[in-house]
Amino acid sequence: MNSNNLHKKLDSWKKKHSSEISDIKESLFLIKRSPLTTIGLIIILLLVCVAIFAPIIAPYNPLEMHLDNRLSSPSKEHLLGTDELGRDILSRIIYGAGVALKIMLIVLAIDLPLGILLGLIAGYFGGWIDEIIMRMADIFMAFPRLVLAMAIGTALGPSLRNTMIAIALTMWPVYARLARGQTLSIKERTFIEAERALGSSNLKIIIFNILPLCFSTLIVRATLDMGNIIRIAAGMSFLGLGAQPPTPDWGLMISSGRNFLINQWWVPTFPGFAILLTVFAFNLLGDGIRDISDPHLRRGQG
Amino acid sequence: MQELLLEVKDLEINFYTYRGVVRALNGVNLRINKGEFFGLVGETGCGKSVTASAILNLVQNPGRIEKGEIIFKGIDILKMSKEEIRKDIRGKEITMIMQYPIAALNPVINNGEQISEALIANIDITKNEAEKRTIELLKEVNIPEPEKIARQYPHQLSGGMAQRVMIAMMLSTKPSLLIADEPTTALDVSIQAQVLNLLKDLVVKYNTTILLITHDLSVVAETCERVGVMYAGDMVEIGELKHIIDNPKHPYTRGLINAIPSEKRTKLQEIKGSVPDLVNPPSGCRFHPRCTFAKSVCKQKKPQMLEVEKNHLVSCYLYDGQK
Repeated sequence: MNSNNLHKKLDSWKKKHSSEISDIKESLFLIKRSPLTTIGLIIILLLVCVAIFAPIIAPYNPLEMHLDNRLSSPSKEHLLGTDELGRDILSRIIYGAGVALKIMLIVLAIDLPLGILLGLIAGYFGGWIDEIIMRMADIFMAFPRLVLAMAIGTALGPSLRNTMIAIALTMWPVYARLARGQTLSIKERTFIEAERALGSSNLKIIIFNILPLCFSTLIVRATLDMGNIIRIAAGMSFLGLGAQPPTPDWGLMISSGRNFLINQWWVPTFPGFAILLTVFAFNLLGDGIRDISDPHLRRGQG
Repeated sequence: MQELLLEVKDLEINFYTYRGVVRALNGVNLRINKGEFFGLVGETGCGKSVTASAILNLVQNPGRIEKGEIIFKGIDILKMSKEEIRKDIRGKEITMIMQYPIAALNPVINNGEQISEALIANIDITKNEAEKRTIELLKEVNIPEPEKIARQYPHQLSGGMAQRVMIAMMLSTKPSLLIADEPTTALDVSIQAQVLNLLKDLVVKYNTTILLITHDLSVVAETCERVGVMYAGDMVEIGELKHIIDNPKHPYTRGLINAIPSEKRTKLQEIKGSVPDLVNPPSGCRFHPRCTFAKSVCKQKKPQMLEVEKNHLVSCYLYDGQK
């Protein structure tokens, strides 16, 4: 009786959202069809799991030092060896995944809303508001991103939080410009005129009609940027501007391990691989999502 | 007997472009009565659509309303504040359906939600009620399987279906005036007739008024009660349908009628010349360079509207002093 009811509810829910469900199914189908995207997605899912379950997976405490066991080569006890303070490199890489993902997510959580908001306002209202916002964006874009991030990071003082602020400050113009460009083209379309004819306010038009259409472009751009953010954050840490010891951060691990590259190659090499693999996976996924969101690939119109 | 709903008085609109000032509307006068099916005919670029957007005060940059009055239910719309027009006129009193229905629907919101959104925005109604009303509305515009269509997205519809959804959306708030800007131009001929008949039925059912804008005289002949003919930003002739079709007075209207293929005519007559550039419109009557009856006075002064018979106005010197 009860389960019957539940079934009915589920059925009606399925019916009501049939187009959304078929959309998701189609996306999954398209992802499966592209092996590179699948690989990227699997690596990222593994990475996320590793980051979440780090305390369970990691064989050792990443901060625990064993000065009697410094720089030991990969072995059964320490699969990827130990560093100059005798800490297990594998455990540090596993914990580092969380640090890298956290930086990326926080930067995007600042940049996406900020960029979208500014871009929508600039594109929709135009005029002097547009000029002010976009000239600010130009100023930020005039410098190479890493250089600007380093300058801001230095000015704010080296710490993980300041690194995130610095990277976020260098990235928002990209999203603002994209959102503005999209808004400019969308606001001229007929359905916006129809919406005006129905007496909708500017706010409603922006939120319900323009924002959803900007989204796909911005999401693609954000996935393509995920790898970049991790790379820049690692670079900042390498230069000593980001995470401070003893944080298990990949960039920091390379930085402190670079003196041992010749004789104890495993110390800097494995964190390097971790960065390589992560950035690579995010780029594969970004490319894949860009292809999938291309309407020509969908519905067999291509 | 008939109640006046909308009066456009001496409306002048200019567009300030790089090439110069485009004089799009040159003092247009128009009266639409309540419950009427009024047709506005003219070539592309003669100012039909600009008139329509002016009625909603949606003339886009670089266009500017220079002078004139648009009196709707006794109130001059052009004197209202932007916010007042948006809140009280657009959507509630006057709505508009467009030429390309699929483009006029938001591609990322499903059809049902678009209509219920419009309902919620303009009428005091709960979400559940709005969804129910949406299905009823879709039924009223003769959409088969309204529940299914409501869940679909605009790109899954045919042009005719999308136009019906549009009509349902624009009628949902029971406006007093529905502006239909070339509603059938993008549709197949067979669908055209269906949509026009639907509009005709809905005028009666909803007790509304329709201002139909088209370049197609046959569309007008099928539906309208009164017709206004526009040429290059001027209203040249207004009258009841039978006056315009059977007894056109203005040389331009005659030219239009003569250009329609029919059994009586073995050879089609075109109107000589082409539409003038509105940056430098011809002086006086804007039709005079193409008019076979042009006199010297035509070049000097714009002719006034003359009533040649009851409810039949013509702006032409041919009929000056006849009455």
